[in-house]
Amino acid sequence: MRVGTISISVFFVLFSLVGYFYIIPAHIVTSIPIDASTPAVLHPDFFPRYTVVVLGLVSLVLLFSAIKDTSPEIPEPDRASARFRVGVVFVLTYLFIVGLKYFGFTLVAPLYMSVIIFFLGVRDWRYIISMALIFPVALSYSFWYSFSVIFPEGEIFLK
Amino acid sequence: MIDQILEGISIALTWQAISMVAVGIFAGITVGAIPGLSGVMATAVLVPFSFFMAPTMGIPFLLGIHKGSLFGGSIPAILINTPGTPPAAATCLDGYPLAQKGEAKSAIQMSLYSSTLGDTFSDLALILAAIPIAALALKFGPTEFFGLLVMGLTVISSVTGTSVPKGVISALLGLLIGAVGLDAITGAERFTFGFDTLQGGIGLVPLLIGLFAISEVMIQVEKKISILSQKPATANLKGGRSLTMGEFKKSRRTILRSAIIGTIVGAIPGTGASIATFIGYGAAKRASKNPEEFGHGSYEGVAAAESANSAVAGADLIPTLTLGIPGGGTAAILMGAFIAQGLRPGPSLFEENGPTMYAIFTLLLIGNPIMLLQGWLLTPFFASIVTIRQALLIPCIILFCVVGSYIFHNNLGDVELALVSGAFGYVLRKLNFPLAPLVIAYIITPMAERSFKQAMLLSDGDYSVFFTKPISLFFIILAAIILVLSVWKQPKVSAE
Repeated sequence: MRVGTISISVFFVLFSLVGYFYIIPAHIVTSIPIDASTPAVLHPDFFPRYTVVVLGLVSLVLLFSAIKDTSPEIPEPDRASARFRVGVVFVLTYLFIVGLKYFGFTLVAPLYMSVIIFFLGVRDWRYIISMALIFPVALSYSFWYSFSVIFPEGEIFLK
Repeated sequence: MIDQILEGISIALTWQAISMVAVGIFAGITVGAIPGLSGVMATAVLVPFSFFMAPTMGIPFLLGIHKGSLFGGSIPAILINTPGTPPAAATCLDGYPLAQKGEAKSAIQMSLYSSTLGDTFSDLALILAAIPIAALALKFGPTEFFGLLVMGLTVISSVTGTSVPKGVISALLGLLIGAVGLDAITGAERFTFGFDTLQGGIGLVPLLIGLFAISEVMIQVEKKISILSQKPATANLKGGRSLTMGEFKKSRRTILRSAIIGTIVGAIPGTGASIATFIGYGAAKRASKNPEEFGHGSYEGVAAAESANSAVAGADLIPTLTLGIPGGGTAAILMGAFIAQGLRPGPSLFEENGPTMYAIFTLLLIGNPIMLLQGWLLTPFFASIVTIRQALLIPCIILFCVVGSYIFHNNLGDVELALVSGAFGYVLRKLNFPLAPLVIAYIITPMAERSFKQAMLLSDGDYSVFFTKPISLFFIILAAIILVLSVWKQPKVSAE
């Protein structure tokens, strides 16, 4: 936790600097010249600029308090494999979203569900197949029937 | 006003509206009964569905989820010693020992009665307090309102979580995310990076689903494969006895005390049901004639915890609806749902939408006997859900998240945004950053900025206006005191 807190504090300090000196000047686009704004009519970068300054200062406080913290780290058991599972599920979900665009919900959702259920340790194919088929079809049908919402049909099939 | 109340009641008393509350409560108890899935997550995932309904159906549906999940969380706490939701943690202390003695059924019944009574008490407090507070807040000008928002955000950042700097950083990130899009006064583009879709800002629905639902699913995925793929062992409901009137009567005072504690704690922004439940439990133990029974299977213990955590359901809407400051994660999501439905929480909510609000209040009250009925009739079903394999559930929830993010604008970009928010939320949660301040800050950013700019216009750019007006000065001093006290107390709390 301590190493994580130090890392994220450093990240936020750097983010504040980049935000203040690059992102805010470059990505707040206004037609009002900066010298034309008065204290009564605030420039659109007023709030973000102050927020970023305070973010940098509070991140420094967090950084110093994390460095000063000498309490022992509580080891997390099975951390590497847990992170691996999370990473795989994220990647599979991203691929699922990309797949939705090209192949549509009806084709990709059952495949995605069966892969995830298998990956999370279920080996009984009766459960895998029934869940992977019934749930997406029921979801798709109920949305179409109740709210007239059609899930992505896939660009490949629309051409 | 009487006309508006009667109109509200007539809107509420339709079978569609009542059945939506019932569906919401059923969904809430179901989600609450599944260990690891919280009411906040369920509310976030199901928010987009409420947009397809009228406000008088969609909002009570979400409120039903909130109510139901607080009771539902007690079922796995009693049966498998695992709280279904964080606020049910104290229920494990006495609920599970009762289940081990073969009294699971009566323990769940005690939980049901105390949850319903606590919730009803808190709903009545909301109804009685909301209109006077809103009327008082209507007298606030932009200067006072900005002071109030600063105070609210400071309280939430300082009280939520274990570290004040982390709470404040979370709120600041929320302010930055809330600044994305077109500036309300000048129309300038802020942080759109050339993407037209960002001109309207970061979407509320993908952000909520990502932060509260996807990140939570990923936390569940971290569990060992053996835990995810196997059915948990559970205590048996069958053959258990029902709660006797004597046992219930012995806990009446405890239920009332916890309801009062839950309502007061719930009305303070940033606190929430988890804190209320332990305060209620501690107070019940101190006041009990048999404190030695606490922790070994005391019905009073179950009643104290459940009444207190359910009493937060109505109370955390008091600052949300009257001042526009959400009290916690669920309240922030509900506020987002109100805004998406065209109802802007804040002092003018009751003036502009009187009948709709009275209809929602009526449905809140109707929801309590519905929860009691569902609890009576469907407890065996909810108990069976406790043992569902999480490996089967996780992909279903992700699919719900994907669908929920997609249907709002029929846009896959929103689904990608939800996934990115989920990854961001996961990292923040792993590092113990509270998410509620981020979402609350994101939601109140436009209001805060508008109030600040209006105050500047009215004072001709004089910043001292926030310190010369007494109400605004009071809020700012209060915010400073809360911040200083939180920082000062923090090392002691962490040590404990």
